[in-house]
Amino acid sequence: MSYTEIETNAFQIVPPAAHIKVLDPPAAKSPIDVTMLNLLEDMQGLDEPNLVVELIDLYLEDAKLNLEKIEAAIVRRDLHQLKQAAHSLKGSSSSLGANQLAGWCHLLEMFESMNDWTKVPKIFVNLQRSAVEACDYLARERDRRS
Amino acid sequence: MRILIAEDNPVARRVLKATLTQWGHEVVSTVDGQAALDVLAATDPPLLAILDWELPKLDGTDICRKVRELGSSTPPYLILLTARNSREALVEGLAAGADDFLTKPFDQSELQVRLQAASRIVDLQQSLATRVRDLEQAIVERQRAEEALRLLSLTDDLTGLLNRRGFFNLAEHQLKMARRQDYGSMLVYGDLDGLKAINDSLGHSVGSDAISAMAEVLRLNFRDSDLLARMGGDEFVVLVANVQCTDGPAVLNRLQRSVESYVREVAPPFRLAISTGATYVEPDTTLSLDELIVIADQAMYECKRQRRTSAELGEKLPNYVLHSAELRTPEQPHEIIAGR
Repeated sequence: MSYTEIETNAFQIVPPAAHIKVLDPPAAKSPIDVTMLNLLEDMQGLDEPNLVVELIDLYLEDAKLNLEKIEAAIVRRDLHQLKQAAHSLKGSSSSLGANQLAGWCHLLEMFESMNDWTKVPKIFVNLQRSAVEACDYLARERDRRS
Repeated sequence: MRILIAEDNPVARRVLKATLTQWGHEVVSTVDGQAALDVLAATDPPLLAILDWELPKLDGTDICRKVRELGSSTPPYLILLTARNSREALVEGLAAGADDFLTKPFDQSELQVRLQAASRIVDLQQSLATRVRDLEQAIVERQRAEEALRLLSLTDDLTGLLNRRGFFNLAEHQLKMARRQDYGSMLVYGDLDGLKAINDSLGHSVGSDAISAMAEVLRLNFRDSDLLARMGGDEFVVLVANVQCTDGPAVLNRLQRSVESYVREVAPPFRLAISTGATYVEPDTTLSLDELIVIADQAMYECKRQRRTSAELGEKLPNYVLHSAELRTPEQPHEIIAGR
Protein backbone atom coordinates (compact mmCIF):
# COMPACT_ATOMS: atom_id res chain seq x y z
CA MET A 1 0.00 0.00 0.00
CA SER A 2 1.44 3.38 -0.98
CA TYR A 3 1.65 6.33 1.30
CA THR A 4 -1.00 8.19 -0.72
CA GLU A 5 -3.41 5.30 -0.35
CA ILE A 6 -2.93 5.30 3.39
CA GLU A 7 -3.52 9.02 3.48
CA THR A 8 -6.68 8.71 1.45
CA ASN A 9 -7.96 5.92 3.65
CA ALA A 10 -7.18 7.81 6.80
CA PHE A 11 -9.06 10.92 5.75
CA GLN A 12 -12.04 9.23 4.20
CA ILE A 13 -12.42 7.27 7.40
CA VAL A 14 -13.79 4.24 5.64
CA PRO A 15 -13.17 0.85 7.18
CA PRO A 16 -9.72 0.08 5.80
CA ALA A 17 -10.13 -3.67 5.67
CA ALA A 18 -11.94 -3.46 2.35
CA HIS A 19 -8.88 -1.80 0.83
CA ILE A 20 -6.25 -4.12 2.19
CA LYS A 21 -5.74 -7.13 0.02
CA VAL A 22 -4.24 -9.37 2.70
CA LEU A 23 -7.46 -9.34 4.70
CA ASP A 24 -10.84 -10.71 3.77
CA PRO A 25 -13.50 -8.02 3.26
CA PRO A 26 -15.70 -7.86 6.36
CA ALA A 27 -19.24 -9.14 6.21
CA ALA A 28 -21.73 -6.33 5.58
CA LYS A 29 -22.10 -4.03 8.58
CA SER A 30 -21.22 -6.75 11.05
CA PRO A 31 -18.06 -6.03 13.08
CA ILE A 32 -17.36 -9.79 13.13
CA ASP A 33 -17.07 -12.20 10.24
CA VAL A 34 -18.87 -15.15 11.77
CA THR A 35 -17.21 -17.72 9.48
CA MET A 36 -14.41 -18.07 12.01
CA LEU A 37 -16.74 -18.34 15.00
CA ASN A 38 -18.85 -20.95 13.20
CA LEU A 39 -15.74 -22.97 12.36
CA LEU A 40 -14.61 -22.84 15.97
CA GLU A 41 -18.10 -23.75 17.10
CA ASP A 42 -17.97 -26.82 14.85
CA MET A 43 -14.70 -27.83 16.45
CA GLN A 44 -16.19 -27.86 19.92
CA GLY A 45 -16.35 -31.52 20.75
CA LEU A 46 -16.60 -33.49 23.93
CA ASP A 47 -13.01 -32.52 24.67
CA GLU A 48 -13.55 -28.79 24.53
CA PRO A 49 -17.27 -27.98 24.96
CA ASN A 50 -16.58 -24.35 25.90
CA LEU A 51 -13.93 -23.50 23.35
CA VAL A 52 -15.75 -20.48 21.86
CA VAL A 53 -16.59 -18.99 25.25
CA GLU A 54 -13.01 -19.52 26.37
CA LEU A 55 -11.67 -17.87 23.22
CA ILE A 56 -13.98 -14.88 23.54
CA ASP A 57 -12.90 -14.41 27.16
CA LEU A 58 -9.27 -14.59 26.09
CA TYR A 59 -9.95 -12.12 23.31
CA LEU A 60 -11.77 -9.56 25.47
CA GLU A 61 -8.95 -9.60 27.97
CA ASP A 62 -6.26 -9.35 25.27
CA ALA A 63 -8.09 -6.58 23.38
CA LYS A 64 -8.49 -4.49 26.53
CA LEU A 65 -4.80 -4.87 27.33
CA ASN A 66 -3.64 -3.94 23.84
CA LEU A 67 -6.01 -0.99 23.54
CA GLU A 68 -4.52 0.38 26.74
CA LYS A 69 -1.04 -0.16 25.35
CA ILE A 70 -1.95 1.60 22.12
CA GLU A 71 -3.37 4.55 24.03
CA ALA A 72 -0.30 4.75 26.24
CA ALA A 73 1.98 4.60 23.23
CA ILE A 74 0.12 7.47 21.60
CA VAL A 75 0.39 9.53 24.77
CA ARG A 76 4.13 8.82 24.94
CA ARG A 77 4.50 9.20 21.15
CA ASP A 78 6.22 5.82 21.03
CA LEU A 79 5.76 4.51 17.48
CA HIS A 80 7.53 1.26 18.18
CA GLN A 81 5.35 0.38 21.14
CA LEU A 82 2.35 1.47 19.07
CA LYS A 83 3.28 -0.92 16.29
CA GLN A 84 3.78 -3.86 18.64
CA ALA A 85 0.45 -3.40 20.42
CA ALA A 86 -1.39 -2.85 17.12
CA HIS A 87 0.25 -5.97 15.68
CA SER A 88 -0.82 -8.01 18.68
CA LEU A 89 -4.40 -6.74 18.58
CA LYS A 90 -4.47 -7.45 14.84
CA GLY A 91 -3.47 -11.06 15.49
CA SER A 92 -6.17 -11.66 18.09
CA SER A 93 -8.80 -9.85 16.06
CA SER A 94 -8.19 -11.73 12.83
CA SER A 95 -8.20 -15.02 14.74
CA LEU A 96 -11.83 -14.41 15.76
CA GLY A 97 -12.96 -12.73 12.54
CA ALA A 98 -12.90 -9.13 13.78
CA ASN A 99 -11.56 -8.17 10.38
CA GLN A 100 -12.58 -4.51 10.37
CA LEU A 101 -10.71 -3.92 13.60
CA ALA A 102 -7.77 -5.95 12.31
CA GLY A 103 -7.70 -3.67 9.28
CA TRP A 104 -7.44 -0.53 11.44
CA CYS A 105 -4.66 -2.20 13.45
CA HIS A 106 -2.80 -3.00 10.25
CA LEU A 107 -3.03 0.60 9.16
CA LEU A 108 -1.75 1.86 12.49
CA GLU A 109 1.18 -0.57 12.36
CA MET A 110 2.50 0.99 9.18
CA PHE A 111 3.26 4.38 10.66
CA GLU A 112 6.38 3.23 12.45
CA SER A 113 8.35 2.77 9.26
CA MET A 114 7.11 6.13 7.96
CA ASN A 115 7.80 7.87 11.25
CA ASP A 116 4.59 9.85 10.83
CA TRP A 117 2.26 10.87 13.66
CA THR A 118 -0.16 13.10 11.84
CA LYS A 119 -2.81 10.47 10.96
CA VAL A 120 -2.47 8.38 14.08
CA PRO A 121 -5.03 10.08 16.36
CA LYS A 122 -7.72 10.00 13.69
CA ILE A 123 -7.16 6.34 12.92
CA PHE A 124 -7.12 5.55 16.60
CA VAL A 125 -10.62 7.05 17.00
CA ASN A 126 -11.90 4.73 14.29
CA LEU A 127 -10.00 1.80 15.70
CA GLN A 128 -11.56 2.40 19.10
CA ARG A 129 -15.06 2.57 17.66
CA SER A 130 -14.41 -0.62 15.72
CA ALA A 131 -13.05 -2.30 18.86
CA VAL A 132 -16.10 -1.37 20.93
CA GLU A 133 -18.39 -2.81 18.27
CA ALA A 134 -16.37 -6.02 17.99
CA CYS A 135 -16.14 -6.50 21.75
CA ASP A 136 -19.86 -5.83 22.23
CA TYR A 137 -20.71 -8.30 19.52
CA LEU A 138 -18.44 -10.97 20.97
CA ALA A 139 -19.67 -10.34 24.52
CA ARG A 140 -23.26 -10.93 23.33
CA GLU A 141 -22.13 -14.13 21.57
CA ARG A 142 -20.44 -15.20 24.75
CA ASP A 143 -23.54 -14.56 26.92
CA ARG A 144 -25.75 -16.33 24.42
CA ARG A 145 -23.58 -19.45 24.82
CA SER A 146 -23.00 -19.63 28.55
CA MET B 1 1.92 -36.17 15.23
CA ARG B 2 3.51 -34.04 17.95
CA ILE B 3 3.53 -30.41 16.87
CA LEU B 4 5.23 -27.44 18.50
CA ILE B 5 3.52 -24.08 18.17
CA ALA B 6 5.25 -20.81 19.00
CA GLU B 7 2.81 -17.92 19.04
CA ASP B 8 2.79 -15.01 21.45
CA ASN B 9 -0.75 -13.92 20.70
CA PRO B 10 -2.95 -15.79 23.21
CA VAL B 11 -6.07 -15.88 21.01
CA ALA B 12 -4.25 -16.98 17.88
CA ARG B 13 -2.32 -19.58 19.91
CA ARG B 14 -5.50 -20.99 21.43
CA VAL B 15 -7.25 -21.19 18.04
CA LEU B 16 -4.27 -22.93 16.46
CA LYS B 17 -3.98 -25.35 19.36
CA ALA B 18 -7.70 -26.17 19.28
CA THR B 19 -7.55 -26.73 15.53
CA LEU B 20 -4.56 -29.06 15.66
CA THR B 21 -5.91 -30.95 18.68
CA GLN B 22 -9.19 -31.39 16.85
CA TRP B 23 -7.27 -33.03 13.99
CA GLY B 24 -5.73 -35.50 16.42
CA HIS B 25 -2.31 -33.94 16.88
CA GLU B 26 -0.53 -33.57 20.18
CA VAL B 27 0.34 -29.91 20.69
CA VAL B 28 3.21 -28.34 22.62
CA SER B 29 2.54 -24.59 23.07
CA THR B 30 5.18 -21.95 23.62
CA VAL B 31 4.82 -18.19 23.85
CA ASP B 32 8.31 -16.98 22.93
CA GLY B 33 11.17 -17.89 20.62
CA GLN B 34 13.62 -19.05 23.26
CA ALA B 35 11.11 -21.46 24.80
CA ALA B 36 10.37 -22.85 21.34
CA LEU B 37 14.07 -23.36 20.62
CA ASP B 38 14.52 -25.10 23.99
CA VAL B 39 11.78 -27.58 23.07
CA LEU B 40 13.30 -28.22 19.64
CA ALA B 41 16.80 -28.66 21.05
CA ALA B 42 15.72 -31.13 23.74
CA THR B 43 15.90 -34.88 23.22
CA ASP B 44 13.07 -36.41 21.19
CA PRO B 45 11.68 -33.06 20.01
CA PRO B 46 8.44 -32.61 18.04
CA LEU B 47 9.12 -33.22 14.35
CA LEU B 48 6.92 -30.37 13.16
CA ALA B 49 6.88 -26.78 14.36
CA ILE B 50 4.60 -23.90 13.45
CA LEU B 51 6.46 -20.72 14.34
CA ASP B 52 5.13 -17.19 14.34
CA TRP B 53 7.54 -14.87 12.53
CA GLU B 54 7.42 -12.18 15.18
CA LEU B 55 8.05 -13.55 18.64
CA PRO B 56 9.55 -12.16 21.84
CA LYS B 57 13.22 -13.07 22.57
CA LEU B 58 13.94 -14.94 19.32
CA ASP B 59 11.89 -14.47 16.18
CA GLY B 60 10.77 -17.28 13.87
CA THR B 61 13.69 -16.96 11.46
CA ASP B 62 16.19 -17.01 14.37
CA ILE B 63 14.66 -20.27 15.55
CA CYS B 64 14.92 -21.72 12.03
CA ARG B 65 18.58 -20.76 11.77
CA LYS B 66 19.48 -22.13 15.19
CA VAL B 67 17.59 -25.38 14.67
CA ARG B 68 19.40 -25.94 11.35
CA GLU B 69 22.71 -25.33 13.14
CA LEU B 70 21.88 -28.20 15.51
CA GLY B 71 22.14 -30.57 12.51
CA SER B 72 19.92 -33.36 13.82
CA SER B 73 19.54 -36.57 11.80
CA THR B 74 15.78 -36.08 11.94
CA PRO B 75 15.45 -32.30 11.60
CA PRO B 76 12.02 -30.86 12.37
CA TYR B 77 9.79 -29.53 9.61
CA LEU B 78 9.44 -25.80 10.19
CA ILE B 79 6.45 -23.74 9.09
CA LEU B 80 6.68 -19.97 9.48
CA LEU B 81 3.45 -18.20 10.29
CA THR B 82 3.42 -14.65 9.04
CA ALA B 83 1.29 -11.75 7.90
CA ARG B 84 4.06 -10.80 5.46
CA ASN B 85 3.43 -12.35 2.12
CA SER B 86 6.03 -10.51 0.08
CA ARG B 87 8.61 -12.29 -2.02
CA GLU B 88 11.37 -10.78 0.14
CA ALA B 89 9.85 -12.26 3.29
CA LEU B 90 9.51 -15.63 1.57
CA VAL B 91 13.16 -15.62 0.51
CA GLU B 92 14.33 -14.47 3.94
CA GLY B 93 12.34 -17.19 5.70
CA LEU B 94 13.46 -19.97 3.38
CA ALA B 95 17.07 -18.81 3.60
CA ALA B 96 16.83 -19.00 7.39
CA GLY B 97 15.83 -22.67 7.07
CA ALA B 98 12.01 -22.68 7.05
CA ASP B 99 10.35 -25.46 5.06
CA ASP B 100 7.05 -23.74 4.42
CA PHE B 101 4.96 -20.63 4.98
CA LEU B 102 1.48 -19.97 6.20
CA THR B 103 -0.04 -16.52 6.05
CA LYS B 104 -2.07 -15.20 8.94
CA PRO B 105 -4.90 -15.42 9.65
CA PHE B 106 -4.50 -19.00 8.51
CA ASP B 107 -7.13 -20.74 6.47
CA GLN B 108 -8.09 -24.09 7.97
CA SER B 109 -8.16 -26.08 4.73
CA GLU B 110 -4.83 -24.59 3.67
CA LEU B 111 -3.29 -25.48 7.01
CA GLN B 112 -4.62 -29.01 6.64
CA VAL B 113 -3.03 -29.66 3.24
CA ARG B 114 0.22 -28.06 4.32
CA LEU B 115 0.32 -30.36 7.34
CA GLN B 116 -0.26 -33.34 5.04
CA ALA B 117 2.71 -32.29 2.93
CA ALA B 118 4.76 -31.79 6.10
CA SER B 119 3.90 -35.20 7.48
CA ARG B 120 4.92 -36.87 4.21
CA ILE B 121 8.34 -35.22 4.48
CA VAL B 122 8.67 -36.01 8.19
CA ASP B 123 7.76 -39.68 7.62
CA LEU B 124 10.24 -39.93 4.77
CA GLN B 125 12.95 -38.34 6.83
CA GLN B 126 12.29 -40.66 9.72
CA SER B 127 12.37 -43.78 7.59
CA LEU B 128 15.61 -42.53 6.04
CA ALA B 129 17.10 -41.93 9.47
CA THR B 130 16.06 -45.44 10.53
CA ARG B 131 17.60 -46.86 7.37
CA VAL B 132 20.85 -45.00 8.00
CA ARG B 133 20.91 -46.26 11.59
CA ASP B 134 20.34 -49.82 10.37
CA LEU B 135 23.12 -49.47 7.82
CA GLU B 136 25.53 -48.08 10.39
CA GLN B 137 24.66 -50.96 12.69
CA ALA B 138 25.22 -53.44 9.86
CA ILE B 139 28.63 -51.90 9.12
CA VAL B 140 29.67 -52.17 12.76
CA GLU B 141 28.54 -55.79 12.88
CA ARG B 142 30.39 -56.58 9.69
CA GLN B 143 33.58 -55.01 11.04
CA ARG B 144 33.23 -57.12 14.17
CA ALA B 145 32.70 -60.26 12.11
CA GLU B 146 35.74 -59.49 9.94
CA GLU B 147 37.84 -58.90 13.03
CA ALA B 148 36.64 -62.21 14.48
CA LEU B 149 37.43 -63.97 11.20
CA ARG B 150 40.86 -62.39 11.11
CA LEU B 151 41.55 -63.74 14.59
CA LEU B 152 40.39 -67.16 13.43
CA SER B 153 42.37 -66.93 10.22
CA LEU B 154 45.31 -69.25 9.64
CA THR B 155 46.94 -67.32 6.84
CA ASP B 156 48.84 -64.08 6.53
CA ASP B 157 46.98 -61.32 4.63
CA LEU B 158 50.04 -59.88 2.89
CA THR B 159 51.79 -63.01 1.65
CA GLY B 160 49.14 -65.73 1.73
CA LEU B 161 51.58 -67.92 3.69
CA LEU B 162 50.48 -69.42 6.99
CA ASN B 163 50.47 -67.01 9.90
CA ARG B 164 51.88 -67.90 13.32
CA ARG B 165 48.58 -69.41 14.41
CA GLY B 166 48.26 -71.43 11.21
CA PHE B 167 51.84 -72.61 11.45
CA PHE B 168 51.49 -73.87 15.01
CA ASN B 169 48.27 -75.73 14.14
CA LEU B 170 49.73 -77.53 11.15
CA ALA B 171 53.32 -77.99 12.37
CA GLU B 172 52.23 -79.86 15.50
CA HIS B 173 50.28 -82.18 13.28
CA GLN B 174 53.20 -82.59 10.85
CA LEU B 175 55.64 -83.45 13.66
CA LYS B 176 53.27 -86.16 14.89
CA MET B 177 53.17 -87.59 11.37
CA ALA B 178 57.01 -87.49 11.28
CA ARG B 179 57.20 -89.40 14.53
CA ARG B 180 54.71 -92.03 13.38
CA GLN B 181 56.32 -92.49 9.97
CA ASP B 182 59.83 -92.12 11.38
CA TYR B 183 61.25 -89.41 9.20
CA GLY B 184 63.34 -86.42 10.06
CA SER B 185 62.34 -82.77 9.50
CA MET B 186 64.10 -79.47 9.38
CA LEU B 187 62.92 -76.22 10.89
CA VAL B 188 64.24 -73.17 9.02
CA TYR B 189 64.05 -69.67 10.44
CA GLY B 190 64.56 -66.84 7.95
CA ASP B 191 64.83 -63.11 8.43
CA LEU B 192 64.82 -60.59 5.62
CA ASP B 193 68.04 -58.53 5.52
CA GLY B 194 67.68 -54.78 5.75
CA LEU B 195 63.89 -54.42 5.79
CA LYS B 196 64.20 -51.38 8.01
CA ALA B 197 66.52 -49.73 5.51
CA ILE B 198 64.02 -50.44 2.71
CA ASN B 199 61.13 -49.03 4.76
CA ASP B 200 63.13 -45.94 5.71
CA SER B 201 64.47 -45.14 2.26
CA LEU B 202 61.72 -46.40 -0.07
CA GLY B 203 58.62 -46.41 2.13
CA HIS B 204 56.57 -49.07 3.83
CA SER B 205 54.71 -50.09 0.71
CA VAL B 206 58.03 -51.10 -0.92
CA GLY B 207 58.90 -52.84 2.34
CA SER B 208 55.68 -54.85 1.95
CA ASP B 209 56.68 -55.65 -1.63
CA ALA B 210 60.00 -57.03 -0.35
CA ILE B 211 58.18 -59.27 2.13
CA SER B 212 55.84 -60.50 -0.61
CA ALA B 213 58.77 -61.15 -2.92
CA MET B 214 60.51 -63.27 -0.29
CA ALA B 215 57.30 -65.21 0.25
CA GLU B 216 57.21 -65.85 -3.48
CA VAL B 217 60.80 -67.15 -3.44
CA LEU B 218 59.97 -69.47 -0.54
CA ARG B 219 56.96 -70.83 -2.41
CA LEU B 220 59.05 -71.50 -5.52
CA ASN B 221 61.91 -73.05 -3.59
CA PHE B 222 60.17 -75.42 -1.18
CA ARG B 223 57.86 -78.34 -1.81
CA ASP B 224 54.10 -78.24 -1.45
CA SER B 225 54.34 -80.58 1.51
CA ASP B 226 56.58 -78.14 3.43
CA LEU B 227 54.90 -75.65 5.74
CA LEU B 228 55.68 -72.03 4.93
CA ALA B 229 54.77 -69.30 7.39
CA ARG B 230 55.30 -65.62 8.00
CA MET B 231 55.65 -65.22 11.75
CA GLY B 232 55.23 -61.47 11.60
CA GLY B 233 57.32 -58.52 10.46
CA ASP B 234 60.23 -59.78 8.33
CA GLU B 235 60.43 -63.27 9.86
CA PHE B 236 59.61 -66.51 8.08
CA VAL B 237 59.56 -70.11 9.23
CA VAL B 238 59.60 -73.27 7.13
CA LEU B 239 59.06 -76.80 8.38
CA VAL B 240 60.66 -79.06 5.79
CA ALA B 241 59.24 -82.58 5.93
CA ASN B 242 61.05 -85.84 5.35
CA VAL B 243 64.71 -84.86 5.16
CA GLN B 244 67.93 -86.39 6.40
CA CYS B 245 70.16 -84.58 8.85
CA THR B 246 72.76 -84.40 6.10
CA ASP B 247 70.37 -82.67 3.67
CA GLY B 248 70.52 -79.46 5.70
CA PRO B 249 73.28 -77.61 3.83
CA ALA B 250 71.79 -78.53 0.45
CA VAL B 251 68.36 -77.26 1.41
CA LEU B 252 69.68 -73.97 2.76
CA ASN B 253 72.14 -73.36 -0.07
CA ARG B 254 69.41 -73.96 -2.60
CA LEU B 255 67.26 -71.33 -0.86
CA GLN B 256 70.05 -68.77 -1.21
CA ARG B 257 70.45 -69.64 -4.89
CA SER B 258 66.71 -69.18 -5.38
CA VAL B 259 66.88 -65.73 -3.82
CA GLU B 260 69.82 -64.81 -6.05
CA SER B 261 68.16 -66.03 -9.23
CA TYR B 262 64.94 -64.22 -8.33
CA VAL B 263 66.92 -61.00 -7.91
CA ARG B 264 68.64 -61.58 -11.27
CA GLU B 265 65.43 -62.32 -13.14
CA VAL B 266 63.00 -59.90 -11.55
CA ALA B 267 65.47 -57.13 -10.66
CA PRO B 268 63.31 -55.70 -7.86
CA PRO B 269 63.93 -52.03 -6.93
CA PHE B 270 65.17 -53.09 -3.49
CA ARG B 271 67.83 -55.34 -2.05
CA LEU B 272 66.41 -58.82 -1.43
CA ALA B 273 68.42 -61.09 0.87
CA ILE B 274 67.73 -63.43 3.74
CA SER B 275 69.62 -64.72 6.76
CA THR B 276 68.71 -68.27 7.65
CA GLY B 277 69.20 -70.51 10.59
CA ALA B 278 67.95 -74.04 10.88
CA THR B 279 67.80 -77.05 13.09
CA TYR B 280 67.36 -80.68 12.24
CA VAL B 281 64.42 -82.33 13.99
CA GLU B 282 64.77 -86.01 14.86
CA PRO B 283 61.63 -88.09 14.22
CA ASP B 284 61.32 -88.84 17.94
CA THR B 285 62.35 -85.42 19.18
CA THR B 286 61.51 -84.61 22.79
CA LEU B 287 61.66 -80.90 22.11
CA SER B 288 58.48 -78.91 21.77
CA LEU B 289 57.72 -76.85 18.70
CA ASP B 290 58.33 -73.68 20.72
CA GLU B 291 61.77 -74.90 21.76
CA LEU B 292 62.64 -75.91 18.20
CA ILE B 293 61.65 -72.46 16.97
CA VAL B 294 63.84 -70.80 19.61
CA ILE B 295 66.80 -72.90 18.51
CA ALA B 296 66.27 -72.14 14.81
CA ASP B 297 65.80 -68.47 15.64
CA GLN B 298 69.10 -68.42 17.58
CA ALA B 299 70.85 -70.01 14.63
CA MET B 300 69.33 -67.38 12.34
CA TYR B 301 70.65 -64.61 14.64
CA GLU B 302 74.08 -66.18 14.58
CA CYS B 303 73.89 -66.25 10.79
CA LYS B 304 72.82 -62.60 10.70
CA ARG B 305 75.69 -61.63 12.99
CA GLN B 306 78.23 -63.53 10.88
CA ARG B 307 76.85 -62.00 7.67
CA ARG B 308 77.28 -58.51 9.12
CA THR B 309 80.85 -59.21 10.15
CA SER B 310 81.63 -60.76 6.77
CA ALA B 311 80.12 -57.81 4.99
CA GLU B 312 82.29 -55.41 7.00
CA LEU B 313 85.39 -57.50 6.23
CA GLY B 314 84.43 -57.81 2.59
CA GLU B 315 84.26 -61.61 2.84
CA LYS B 316 81.73 -63.89 1.24
CA LEU B 317 78.56 -63.99 3.35
CA PRO B 318 77.58 -67.27 5.01
CA ASN B 319 74.40 -68.73 3.59
CA TYR B 320 73.09 -70.21 6.77
CA VAL B 321 73.80 -71.41 10.28
CA LEU B 322 72.74 -74.93 10.93
CA HIS B 323 72.24 -76.11 14.44
CA SER B 324 71.69 -79.70 15.25
CA ALA B 325 69.35 -79.53 18.16
CA GLU B 326 69.45 -83.21 18.92
CA LEU B 327 73.20 -83.17 19.48
CA ARG B 328 72.82 -80.63 22.23
CA THR B 329 74.22 -81.97 25.49
CA PRO B 330 75.28 -80.20 28.69
CA GLU B 331 78.93 -80.52 27.66
CA GLN B 332 78.38 -79.48 24.11
CA PRO B 333 75.44 -77.07 24.13
CA HIS B 334 75.80 -75.98 20.52
CA GLU B 335 77.13 -77.40 17.41
CA ILE B 336 77.01 -74.75 14.86
CA ILE B 337 77.89 -75.27 11.27
CA ALA B 338 78.12 -72.17 9.18
CA GLY B 339 77.90 -72.86 5.49
CA ARG B 340 79.22 -70.56 2.82
